Amino acid sequence: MSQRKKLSILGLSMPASFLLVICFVFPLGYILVTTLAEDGPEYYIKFLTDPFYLKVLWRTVWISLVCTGVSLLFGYPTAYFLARTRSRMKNMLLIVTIFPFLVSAVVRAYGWQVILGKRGIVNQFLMAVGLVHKPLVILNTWMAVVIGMVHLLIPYMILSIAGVIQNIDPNVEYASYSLGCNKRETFWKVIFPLSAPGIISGCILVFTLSITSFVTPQLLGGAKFVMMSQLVDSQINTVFNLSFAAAISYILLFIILLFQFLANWSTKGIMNRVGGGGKRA
Amino acid sequence: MSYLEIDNLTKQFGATTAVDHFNLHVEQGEMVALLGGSGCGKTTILRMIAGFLEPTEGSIRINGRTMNEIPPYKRNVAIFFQNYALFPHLTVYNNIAYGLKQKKMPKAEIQKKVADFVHLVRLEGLEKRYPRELSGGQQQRVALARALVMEPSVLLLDEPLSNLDAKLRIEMQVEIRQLQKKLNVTTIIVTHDQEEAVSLADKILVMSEGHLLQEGDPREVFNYPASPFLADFMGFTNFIYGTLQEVKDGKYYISARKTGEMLVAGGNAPADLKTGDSVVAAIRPGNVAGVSGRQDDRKENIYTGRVSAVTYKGNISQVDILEAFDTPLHMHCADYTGPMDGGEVTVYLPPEKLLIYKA
Ligand SMILES: Nc1ncnc2c1ncn2[C@@H]1O[C@H](COP(=O)(O)OP(=O)(O)OP(=O)(O)O)[C@@H](O)[C@H]1O
Ligand SMILES: [Mg+2]
Repeated sequence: MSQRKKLSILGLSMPASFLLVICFVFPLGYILVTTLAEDGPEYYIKFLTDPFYLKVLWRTVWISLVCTGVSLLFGYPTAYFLARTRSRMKNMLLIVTIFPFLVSAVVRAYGWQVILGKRGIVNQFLMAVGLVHKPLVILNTWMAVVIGMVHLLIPYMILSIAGVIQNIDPNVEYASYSLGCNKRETFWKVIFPLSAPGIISGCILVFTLSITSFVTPQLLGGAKFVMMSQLVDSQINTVFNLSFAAAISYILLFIILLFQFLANWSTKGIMNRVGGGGKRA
Repeated sequence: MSYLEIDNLTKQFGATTAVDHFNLHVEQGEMVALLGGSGCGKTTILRMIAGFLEPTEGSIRINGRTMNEIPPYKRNVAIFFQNYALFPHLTVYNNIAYGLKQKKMPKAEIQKKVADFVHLVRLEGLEKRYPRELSGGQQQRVALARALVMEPSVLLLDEPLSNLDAKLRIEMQVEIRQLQKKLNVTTIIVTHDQEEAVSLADKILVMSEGHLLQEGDPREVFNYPASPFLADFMGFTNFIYGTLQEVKDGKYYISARKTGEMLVAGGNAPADLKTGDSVVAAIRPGNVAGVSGRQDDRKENIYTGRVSAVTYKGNISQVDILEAFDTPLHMHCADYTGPMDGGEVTVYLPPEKLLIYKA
């Protein structure tokens, strides 16, 4: 990249960078410095040595991983369909995909409470068809949290992947067919690797949003199912220990950055090749 | 029985008929050029032969086997896409080896075959590059190697040379023709360019709006297009309208519309032409000759007009002449030294170069 191009990119990103520095980097740095100056690493040590807190951290991480995996599993086929359909309903389908964004997470969590509860639709149905004899306990377990969270976050996955698949030249698929690969083989050899950038960005988005989620675990996970954000909340609003809240937040931030780094690092090879869509006239 | 037989092939997209009862028989090892304007259905035909599109009607047979029900990955038809469609995530080597690996060919054999084709298309040293690290011409050659290495029963080339500069284009024409001959693969090449078609193919087909207009030997199609429309397509851009006065000794005497000038034409003409018929005579601009001074003792087909524009086109100049006939006359000269805009110019139209059609 030439010096000039670098400069112009810098220039274009100025407004956003400015906002980020003022509203994000500066307060973060301020909190880190003031809490460390006051209490030293005490609360970091406390968190990392107490099995209770470590358990919350572990739970938060695996729930987020499960949410990411489930979103990918269900989101990918939808994204592929959305990207490749020639139907005139395509725009309708896109709107339907984004529709959940119009309803707040709180409202949706309450909705799931009704659906998943002891006398909710799910249990009524399962009992009516005779699959179970007494209501299943779904609400206030990890399952309810995963269901609520996937519902909330799957559009991010779908849109990330659909955007990338849409830019894969359909002729590349046809070329693969004419070279002897059937649809399934073509998918694994061509479409899947070429959609890697969408999968990575979708996973990073969903993972980050899951690991920091608050409303959904609060309303669907019940009292025993505590995640990191809830810990931060209770330290601020019930225990009034701002330093500990800051330490927890920083540990969470570190985990997020670690996962992003791992995701980018492990897929560097493929991203270098297909990151730009692979088109060159 | 021909190797590739296409009968009554028809494709409808909703209300539009992209291909309309198209017939084509190609012999083993033959190279056929499919020529026609944009949107006339050339790509659609190739996509049906490759199996990506299902024909609305008609049949496709390769070596006696009906293809209609056979999926693309079992047809052994290789296609070269206009935009190359290389696999961006694979190296040159792996792009070329893609189909061989799918065939479960032993590794040593794959390596040898790929090396052979890399050599054939002159890509040595680039095997480890990714498509985005190649020039357009290099990508094109990878796409060609990827298709040819499969030893396909039929090779389909969709405008393989349209994005190249003039020099590389000529080189690649020669290369494609040599490869095709060497591998003796039955080939259909789509092109916009009539000269390319003539220089490459054993047989030419000209299409318009999904129909076949003319089919034949390249020379024949190039020199004797079957209709004024085809003549225009083949570069006969001068059309002179008139009435047939007399036929004598294989020569046709035509009085030109409006000017009444007598025009003698000797090219081929419809058999059922009668005196008094309205006709149109067509001639290539390159066959219009400038006449200077009185040194010429030819008496027929000498006309005088006014130069309206001289356009320099690289190796030739195009001179537009008005007032010789009621339609403008174009002349191509290697080095034009005559009068410029507004000046008077005298031209000669060789009778044997004038084709006659019913108007
Ligand atoms: N999937 C499709 N749906 C509807 N119409 C189509 C479709 N594909 C092609 N057509 C139409 O069929 C006609 C033939 O298209 P085709 O691509 O075969 O043209 P072509 O001869 O290859 O043109 P060009 O020289 O510009 O590539 C066009 O009118 C086009 O608009
Ligand atoms: Mg085309």
